[in-house]
Amino acid sequence: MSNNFVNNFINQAKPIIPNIKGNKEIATPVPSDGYMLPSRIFGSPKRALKNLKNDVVTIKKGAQGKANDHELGRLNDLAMKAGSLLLAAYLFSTKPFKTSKAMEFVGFGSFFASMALWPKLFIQAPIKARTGVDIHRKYVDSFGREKMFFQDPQYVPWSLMSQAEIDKMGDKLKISKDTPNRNAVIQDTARKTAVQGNTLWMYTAGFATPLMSALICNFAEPKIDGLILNSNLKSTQKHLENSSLTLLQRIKHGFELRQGQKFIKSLADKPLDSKTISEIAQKFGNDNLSVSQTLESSLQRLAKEARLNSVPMNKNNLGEVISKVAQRAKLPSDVAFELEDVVTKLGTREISSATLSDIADKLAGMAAKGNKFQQKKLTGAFTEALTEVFEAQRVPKTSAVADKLTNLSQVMANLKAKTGIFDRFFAARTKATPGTLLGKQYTGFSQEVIEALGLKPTLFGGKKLLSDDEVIRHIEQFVESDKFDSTIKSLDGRIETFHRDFDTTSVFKKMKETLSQAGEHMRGAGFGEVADKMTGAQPSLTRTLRALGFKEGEEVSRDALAKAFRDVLGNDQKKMSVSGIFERETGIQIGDNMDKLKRSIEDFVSGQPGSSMRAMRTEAEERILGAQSSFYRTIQTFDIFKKIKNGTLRTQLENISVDGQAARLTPEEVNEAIDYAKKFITKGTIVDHSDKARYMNTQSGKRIHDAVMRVLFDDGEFPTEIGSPALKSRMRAYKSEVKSKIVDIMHSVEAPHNQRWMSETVEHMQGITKHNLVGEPIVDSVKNGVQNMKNSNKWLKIFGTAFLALVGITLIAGTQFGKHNKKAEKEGEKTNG
Amino acid sequence: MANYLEQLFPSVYSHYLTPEVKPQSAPAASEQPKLYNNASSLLIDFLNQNGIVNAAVQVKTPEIASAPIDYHNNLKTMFKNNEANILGVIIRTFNAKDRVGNQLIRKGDEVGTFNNAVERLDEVKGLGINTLHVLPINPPGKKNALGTAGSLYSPADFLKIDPNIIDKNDSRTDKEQVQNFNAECHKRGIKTMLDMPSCGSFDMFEKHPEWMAIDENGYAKTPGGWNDIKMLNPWKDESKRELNPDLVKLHKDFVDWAMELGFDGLRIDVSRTKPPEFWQEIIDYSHTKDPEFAWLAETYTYEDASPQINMNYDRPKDALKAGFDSYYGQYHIYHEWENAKEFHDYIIDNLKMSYEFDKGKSVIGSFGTHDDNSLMEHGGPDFLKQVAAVEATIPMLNTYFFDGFQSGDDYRYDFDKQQDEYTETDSHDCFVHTGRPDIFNLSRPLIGKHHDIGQFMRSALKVKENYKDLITKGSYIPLAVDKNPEDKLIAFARHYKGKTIVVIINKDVNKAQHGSVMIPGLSEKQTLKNLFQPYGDQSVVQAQDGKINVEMGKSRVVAFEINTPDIENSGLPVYKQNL
Repeated sequence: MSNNFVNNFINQAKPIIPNIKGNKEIATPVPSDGYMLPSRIFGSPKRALKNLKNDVVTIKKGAQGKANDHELGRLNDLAMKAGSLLLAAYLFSTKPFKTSKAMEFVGFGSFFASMALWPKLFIQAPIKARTGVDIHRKYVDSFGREKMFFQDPQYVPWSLMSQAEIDKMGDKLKISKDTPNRNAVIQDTARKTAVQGNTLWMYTAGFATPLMSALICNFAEPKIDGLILNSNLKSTQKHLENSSLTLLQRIKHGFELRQGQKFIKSLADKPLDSKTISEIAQKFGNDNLSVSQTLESSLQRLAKEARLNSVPMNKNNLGEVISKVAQRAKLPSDVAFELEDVVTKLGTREISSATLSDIADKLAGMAAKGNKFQQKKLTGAFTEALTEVFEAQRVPKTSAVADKLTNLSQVMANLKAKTGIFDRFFAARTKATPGTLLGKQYTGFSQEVIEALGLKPTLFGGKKLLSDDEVIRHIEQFVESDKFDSTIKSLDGRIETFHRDFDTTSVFKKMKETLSQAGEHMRGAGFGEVADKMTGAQPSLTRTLRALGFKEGEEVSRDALAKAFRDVLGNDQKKMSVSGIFERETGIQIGDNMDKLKRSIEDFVSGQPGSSMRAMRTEAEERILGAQSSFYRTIQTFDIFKKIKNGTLRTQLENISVDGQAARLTPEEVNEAIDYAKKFITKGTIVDHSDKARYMNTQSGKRIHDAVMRVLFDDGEFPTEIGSPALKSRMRAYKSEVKSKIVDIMHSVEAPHNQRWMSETVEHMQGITKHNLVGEPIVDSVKNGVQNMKNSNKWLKIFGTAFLALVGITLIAGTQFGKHNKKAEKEGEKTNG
Repeated sequence: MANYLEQLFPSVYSHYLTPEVKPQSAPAASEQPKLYNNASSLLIDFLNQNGIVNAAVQVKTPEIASAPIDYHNNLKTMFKNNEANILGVIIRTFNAKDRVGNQLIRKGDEVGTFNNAVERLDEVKGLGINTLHVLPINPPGKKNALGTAGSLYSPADFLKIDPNIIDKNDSRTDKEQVQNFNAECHKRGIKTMLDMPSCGSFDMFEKHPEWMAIDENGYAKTPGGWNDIKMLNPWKDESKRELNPDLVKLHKDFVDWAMELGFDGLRIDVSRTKPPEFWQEIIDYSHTKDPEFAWLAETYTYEDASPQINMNYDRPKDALKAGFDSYYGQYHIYHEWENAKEFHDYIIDNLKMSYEFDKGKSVIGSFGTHDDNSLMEHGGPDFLKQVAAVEATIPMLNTYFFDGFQSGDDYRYDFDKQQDEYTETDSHDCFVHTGRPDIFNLSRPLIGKHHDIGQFMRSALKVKENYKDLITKGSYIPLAVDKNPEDKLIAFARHYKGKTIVVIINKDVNKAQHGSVMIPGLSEKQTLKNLFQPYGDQSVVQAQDGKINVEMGKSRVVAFEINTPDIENSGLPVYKQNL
């Protein structure tokens, strides 16, 4: 029956005209507040910066406990990076060398780069290429936060993805267009693919990140070396050009010396215990942690020595000890008198710890007055007290080792000075380490030779040990190969570059010019003028200014600086003059005119005997000579082998007159001479005593030796046949030097590297080793070079193999993703009953 | 007690003094005589105890209505005008009788039915309620079910009525009993909205697979965490956005069925399970039959993606665009908002959003629904009173309360996590969501001990009624509060055609808060008369030029009418709903 309280409208006979417009807009979903970010492997820097900004804001939220899971996760990432950066900075400060310092940050960067790159390159990209699913696709949510689209498989904002994109994914996933609810199937499959991909990421990241990081560092290190070298070369050149720093460095040296002495004096009455030792080590440690640590252990040894050498404990000073202990133990005076008996009975023998124990027992007995129990307790107490005072007495005062400390301070001051401008200038260029210009060029030359000989170790192959004969065999193959001429041309170019970089004329010319300028500034200049020059915004002056007593940020006026100089250098009127300081510190006499100054500079730069400049120059020149001689020797080796190959050497040996022009070598001797020449030029030593006996002590052997030496070193008669005219000219000079300084004078061809050869004919080459003149034999240089390359390859081999294996497994695993249940699609619906 | 009842139900009380009684159904011989007239269960129990009423054993089949009246639905307009005051009820518990006292309705007890629900309608009316949200009335599925009666939201059949909520002693059909209930509501000026579940039960899945969402392996999709229900599939082809015609037809049939039963609108459970074009079609269809048929969407806030597997994301704007009149909104997390700023921001966002759609879209006062823990947990009776006052004064809102709110029911059940031998499903677990109204079992009515809340609620809705235009149409002006560092004092003004009220709320449920509410144009001579009944801790207010100094007790709300006709031009930000 009808109910009049039920809505009347429904019961009306007339249909209601719908209040709907004919072309009413269909209610599709309102556009989402977030948006998808483009699908690419590498994100935009702009967005990265925005994310960083959001993360910083999140720090405050986190501290207030208002951050959500996503934000906390990002805070964790930020904290990890900040913490690692701090760690890298700390390790940076402890490393002694610039490259190893820089590598700390490379390591930091490569670790995080690997964390980011591994999934992008080996998981995300291959899966996307195969299935169309970008598992690390990102989007920006309605709060402006960047998130991964598939981060949470139960929270995927599909509404942000266009239908076209979803369809495209479906096509790539090979989901048939006729599949019922195709969208749902695509989304489900994509979601599963993302879960699989992210799981694979989690499984592999732990291995991949350190492996990739190690490989990045391995490849980066040589590049870093190169960058640092360029930087060193520029900065040392710049420092040399800056006359203010030149002067300041010298002043600083003197200042350091005086400060060191003052410091030692201040510690005179202090015991040389761990605390004092630590103080000294830090003071003289040149702000370098490893130097300070080394100093500390040296000082501890010094203290131990001093202790051992200190006055031994005997009855005289033992009396003092016991009286102190008696005071501490508050023994009555009659007991104290009895103590004297104990001491007297000891005699003069030296006190040892056993004696101390004996004394303690007697003291305890006297104090306990027959109470055995108390005596036992007191024995322990007395032993402890005696030992403590005894040991304290034996610690020497610092004044006992003042002389040694003064020497130490001078050494450290010198060390600091040695790392001054001139030393740094030379060190950047000529130190025989891979990080210097010379080292780099030497290594480059050596590696090119190794490669030309076909001996470059491969990543996964190569023998463990290379024999001399193998090297020789490769040289023989090389000289008849197609690449011989081009290699010689390339090596020629390297030698030219070397000479250009290490032309001492140009290096020292620059030095002279700058010192002239410095001298000119100093003449007649007061402290004020110097202070004017120095106060011109030089960041590197800060530390020295602080050492002079100026505080950080304090404005340094010329008058204040002048006063500081005076205070440091004492009140000597003569020493107060700037030119006086300059002259004293550098040894350069400014004089009253430019000519005198120039002459003085010339002498300074030349390096007068006994001067530090002389020492520096000699060291540098030896290294330069050693390197260039090795280059020439290599060229000579190739020349000889080439001559052997094309028969020239045989012809030369057959025709060479021996025994004072009277004879020729027999055919057998020619053959032997060729072998001898090969052995000599490649190894540079007579291999064993039998060879020495043959070539030094037999007629035939001597003839062979002489003939070989002539063809090797007499360039006038037997010139070098390979290389450019400039190179040939250099080879002539080289051979001539070796001939005149070694071959003609010494018959022994053994040249241990540490044997010094003295020649009176060359003034400035005193102390030059024979080894540096002759150069390193090619067998040694090749074998060492190959071993070095293998060593650096060793880690590359291990990490590289492991990395490639991991990449392979990951890529194969990725091919299994993106599959959906086609069988169910065909069979239709099922129930879950 | 009698005086109290007289105050509360004066018309009912006087009615009982008349000799003539009109019972509506014949009681069973074995049962005590009962009264089935227009009285609340409280009153009946009282009267029965006093033995005032003797019901006849044999009764006539009653007529359904008295005089013929043309009834017209205007619920849609009520929503548009923010005039609806809604109470959510579960028919099978609404007027159930737990005689045994174990909180489960079993033998010896009486299940709530449409018939006995009528007895409480005057009580409902007395509270100021003018709309009932009737939770689903379909028979629950029995397989893989939760609870001993099955979830209300796990229907076995969308177009049938649960036999449990039909009075078997009444010869009328189930439909007629429902129609009678709706008629009685309409007589009292109470509209009714029927709740339509979003998913189906396992039983439904077996019977109607064509309605269901199936995954690629052929299994019906289960929304994450709701293991007793299965998702319906709104799509024929989602990529082309073609709707599932079977499901569309089902929903249209449901609309027809609801209208036939006399309901004035639908409350759609989890509206996001279907896309906006789906709802647009259904809503437009409903308006061809009844242009005033109202639609309420259960949708809360924008989600980038759904955190629930197999469930779509929540987008209120989609629902409003599709034609829904009102939606749930985020007031259910009101208790979590830390300060006044969050409160103002939310209201302002909604007011601004209203301009993106047709005029009159609104939110309901979803501070506490059947899906939320009892508000008693968040601050006791005083908090519930605060909620009532807030609902009565904020803009763009149709007030909403769930049964039990008016008496401070804590929705705790002794049978929670226990088993019962008696069950109508395949489960013996008396499953409930602890702290929430039971929708899984036949259980006690939702009646607490704090009836003062209902009194306050009535008075708050009266305030809304008295300042109807101002509250439903007026502007919203957030007011700054000085010297309240914790920002727990919420203050705002409502203004309409020269009339202003200011509302001040202490959001802190634990302690008093003090501060100065800055009101440009306020005179120190302003008399401050609180529009709300006082409750809880005392509050002190003092007017000064340009401000009101307050010391508010915990959870207190005060409202004053003030003389600031130019407040909208005082430079403060002013927000209005799109009406």
